[in-house]
Formats: sequence, C-alpha cells, structure tokens
Amino acid sequence: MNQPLARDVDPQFFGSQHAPLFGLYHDPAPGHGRRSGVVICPPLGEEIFPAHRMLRVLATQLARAGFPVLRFDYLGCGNSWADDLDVTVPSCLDSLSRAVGKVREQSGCERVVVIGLRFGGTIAGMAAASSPGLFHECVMWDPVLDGNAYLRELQVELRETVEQHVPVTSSCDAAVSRIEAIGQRVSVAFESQLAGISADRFASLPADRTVLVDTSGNTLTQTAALSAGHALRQCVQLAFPDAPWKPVRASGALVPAPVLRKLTSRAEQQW
Amino acid sequence: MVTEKALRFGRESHLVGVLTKPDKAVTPSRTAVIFLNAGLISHLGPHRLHVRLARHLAGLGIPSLRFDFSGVGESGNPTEQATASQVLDVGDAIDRLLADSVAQKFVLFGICAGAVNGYNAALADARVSGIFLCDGYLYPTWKTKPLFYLKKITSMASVAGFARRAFGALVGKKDAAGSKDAALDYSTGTIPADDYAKGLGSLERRGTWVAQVITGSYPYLYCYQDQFDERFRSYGFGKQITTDYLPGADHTFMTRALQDQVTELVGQKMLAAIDR
Repeated sequence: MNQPLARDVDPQFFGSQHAPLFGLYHDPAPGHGRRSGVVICPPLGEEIFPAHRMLRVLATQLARAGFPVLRFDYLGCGNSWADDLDVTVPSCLDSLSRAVGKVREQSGCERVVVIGLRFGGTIAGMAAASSPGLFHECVMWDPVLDGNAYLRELQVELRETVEQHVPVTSSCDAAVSRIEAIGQRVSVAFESQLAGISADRFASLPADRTVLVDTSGNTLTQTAALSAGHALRQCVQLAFPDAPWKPVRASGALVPAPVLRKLTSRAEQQW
Repeated sequence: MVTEKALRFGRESHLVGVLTKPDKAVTPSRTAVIFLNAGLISHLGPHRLHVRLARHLAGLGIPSLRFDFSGVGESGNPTEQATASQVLDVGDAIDRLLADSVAQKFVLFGICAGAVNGYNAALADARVSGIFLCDGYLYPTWKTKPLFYLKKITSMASVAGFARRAFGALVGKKDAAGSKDAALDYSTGTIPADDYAKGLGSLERRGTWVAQVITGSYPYLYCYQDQFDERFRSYGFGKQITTDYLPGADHTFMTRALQDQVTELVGQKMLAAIDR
C-alpha cells in the first residue's frame, strides 16, 4: 500500500465564519476527467480514531484514481468549531450539506458521491432520503439503523472501557452515569434524536443509487428483517465478513483493503 | 473570538496542523504551546483532548499548535527518510510559529510517547522553554511495590475485579487483561533514572521548566504523590521541575470529567509559568 503524502492533502476550514468546519481536501490526480466529487462522512465520537487511518487511505486511493475527495469533521467534532454538546442530528446534516457545497466549489464537479461510515452512514442516508437527487450515489458503511441500540452500545462501551482503564474514584463514577461517547458528552436533545433513528427513516432512499456496505455482520442482518420492498433491501449490498475496520483494542487501527479496493473500483466504473 | 487556521508546514511541507490563536482583543502571550501526538493518535489528542486544551488556552490568551509528526495522522513522511525525526518535526513547528510571529517561547505538551518525544525535543532544542510530560518516564522507589500491593489488597474495586475474573474463569469467559491481544506492548521503553535526571538537570540549568503529570494508570510504577521527589531527591532539583500525581485519572483522560481536570491543571500551570 502506498504511503499517503501530506502534500496531497489541503487542510482547511470552511463554512460559516463563526462556526467553521474543518476539512481535508484531496486533490485529484490529473488526467482522469472524473465527473464526481466525493465527500466522506466520519463516524461519531471515539469511532473516529480507529476509522481515521482507513478513511485517509480510502481518500488517497480515490484521489489517485482521479476523484476530488473531501473529508470533514461535523460541527462540535474533530477540529471543527463548537463542543460536543452542540452536536445534533440537524447540525450534522448541516455540516454534510456545507461539505457537499465545498467539494463542488473546490473541484468544479456538480455530481457528488457520499461515503459515510457508521453514524456518518446514517447521516449520509438521512440526507439522501430527504433529497433523493442530492447525491449521485450514497454509500452507507455499517450505518446506525437502530438509534436505541446505538445508544445502549455507547453506554456499554463507555462503562466497560472505564472499568478496564480508569482507576476507580468518585470523579469517574459520575461520568459513567451519563451518556458519553467516551470523552464526548451526548446532549439530551441529541440523545432523543438518536433514539428516533430507525430503518423507517431510510424508506425513501433512492435504492438504485444507494450502496450498503456491511463489515460488521450486523447491517445485513438488520435489513434482512425489513420488508422486501424497502429501499435498504433493494439497494446494492456488499458484505465483507472478513474485513473489519474496528480493532479489538481502542488504540489499534485496521485498513480493510478488500473494501477499499471494491469502493475504488466501483468509483472508477460508476462515479 | 478564538480563531483557528489549518497549516501545512515543515522541511518538506509534509506536516499538517492547526494553529489556535486567542481573541484579538486579548493581549497574546509570547509563549505558545505545541501539542505532540500521543503515540499514533492524531493531533486531535486522545478523545479530542488537544482540541479542548487548545481552545481553553486560547481563552487564557495562549496560542497553540497541534500537529501530526511525520507519518502520523494527516502528515506524510519526508522523502528523505534520513530526516524522519520527531525532534526535527518539533523544530519545524517552532520555525513556523516564529516565522508567523505567533510567539517567541515554546512549551511542549505530550502524553505517553508524546512525553518522551517532548523530553527529547526539549533537550535538543534550546527554544523550548517548558514541557508537560504526561505519563512520560516513571521510576519506582523501594516503597512503590509494597504500597501498590497494599492498595490493591484494600481496594474494593480490586476485590470486585478479582471476583469478576474468578467468576469469568469459572464460566469460561476470558478476561480482557488476560487475553493474548492485551499482551501487546505499546510502551515506549525507558532510560536509566540517572540519564533522565541528567536530562532534567540540563533543562533546569537552561531555564526550561518541566511539569510532570502522572496518572493512576501505572500504579506498579508510580503510586504516591511524593514518589518523584523521593526518588530524585539526591539531584536537588528546584521548583522548575514539578510533579502532579492524578491517581484517579487514566493514561488518556478518557472521561469528560478527567479531561476537564487536566485542562484546568494545564491552564493554571501555563498562566503561572508564562512571561507575558
């Protein structure tokens, strides 16, 4: 695998002057004449850390194949302005909308493909479902399709991680009792919005322009329970049972090469 | 308003970082903080800690740069592999901050491997006026092990943990701490205590202050407040070398409450140390 070069990446703030978003624009390799720009939606909270390397490599590979790519942080996440309690579903949708505008402006491409991982897949899917013409294609990779299950997962993950790593004192006990995506608080409003996420939210997705990627083994199990006509059953489904991206240990990072190869080759053929 | 600017800099323009500057209405400090990668974690810091610290410090009038070392996070590797070095990367960061007239003095902040790299960079670069070393090099005294075992025996959490492990073993559930994966060694190694003391001594003579912040994650190596002072008493360090022991904190300040605690501590120490 080729090492990404920083010189290929243009770090920048964009969007509103009072609440700028952070993005990393990957210049496309010249000579390909691609028609689509790509926006990558990251996961939320702690999942951005194990996901970072592979999303960086994916962006580099797509840029080498001639696609302009923008990775970005939602408002209140990563380097973007604001704090964790400012993160809501509408704020994430707004951040995605601004990222789409940014990649269009910088690349000159009118067509945009979005790739979203985990909560990023959910946000991408929600945006595509509400404006079916917004994306040329929407790739939802291990998306959160059950908000209540996701909230339970966050709580269990925090509790287990804190039990394993944090020396027990009163200061930690208080933190565990709240919903926190490990070090990042979840506001009451956001919690309620997350709880409202279900597969129903994606029923109006344009199935012919939606790709579901399952590397967790959970996504396709969840969609199998939906009615046969549901957009998430009708769309392209790609399963990679042996290509996990989330390592067992929080400090690790995996790059699932088969998934990246498949997405890059799909991009070359269809985007 | 605090402002942030994305930067690409370095001897081959291969480093990526974010500069955080205080509100224009605030008289900026002449000292800037440079955040170093904690191992392979990007410039955001563990659980976004560097971002929060940077904005907190900017609120106090202190600018900062968080960036990725060569080959980490967003930064690429230099094409000349011979120049791949965290010490050179820190030098590049200082050069850039000087060139942009951001500050004249520089404080490094590092957790774990970041602390080790900060210590080495401070020794190599006289422009460094202070360093925060979070869980850097740790040296036990004769008291450490007995106290560690005493605390372990008397801790209810230990009893509960023992019971959990024992029950897990009975039902065949493998404990994370005993799994093969957990045996991976992410440590950065250590240096002889005498070498560390000599390094601290040379920094002290040069006027560089050192703020050690030690968490409760390595109680078998460090488990009481005065341990550093007792271990290094014979070297006669002055007030420029300080140690804050946070027994309730973990190595990466995992919860928001712990992040708030270390943010407050770093802010106070910076305000006390900087020359406005």
